[in-house]
Amino acid sequence: MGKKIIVNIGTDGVSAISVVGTTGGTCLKMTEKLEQSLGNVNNVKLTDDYYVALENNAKIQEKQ
Amino acid sequence: MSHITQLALSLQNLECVKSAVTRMAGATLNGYKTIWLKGKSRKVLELQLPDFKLPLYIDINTGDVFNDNYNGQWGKLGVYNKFLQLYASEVAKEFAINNNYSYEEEELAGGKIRCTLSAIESIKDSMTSEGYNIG
Repeated sequence: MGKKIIVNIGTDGVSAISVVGTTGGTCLKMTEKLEQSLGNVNNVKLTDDYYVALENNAKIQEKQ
Repeated sequence: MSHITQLALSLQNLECVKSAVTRMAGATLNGYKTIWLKGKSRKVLELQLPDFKLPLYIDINTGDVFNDNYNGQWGKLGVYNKFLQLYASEVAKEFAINNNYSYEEEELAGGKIRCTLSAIESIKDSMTSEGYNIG
């Protein structure tokens, strides 16, 4: 699946940004500039995919 | 999906304010004014929204919006919120153009707007794998 940024803008103008097609810290970097352009971050919620990517990276490093 | 960020808008992009005004029927920008607000002099952009008795003032430097709709009697909050939505979608569109993403926008049931920004490289990769010659 291709990398996508989804921006859901509520009827009160409050926005929620999420990323699909990538995992781990990469997605945080993908949205950083857009977040700065839109306004002030209220809340960041890391989902299971974020932690799966971290675990996978740790396993790769253990093998090396 | 690995994270969800929630944020409140700050109106600091003049071009996106202009684009949002263009998209909202009846809204006009009346240029810059210097006004006295909250104990100090501020250079602000005057925005007139449809059916609002008083104009709104936007401080582009701070992103603050000064709006007195007298609890809805001098202008509907929904109209102001619609303007904020349009502004946010214009910011997302500008980000897409400047950062090599395609941009799609759709209005969802309940009035939410969803903007989908797809990385151009990802689109090229999928087209190539499907046999398209895209040069």
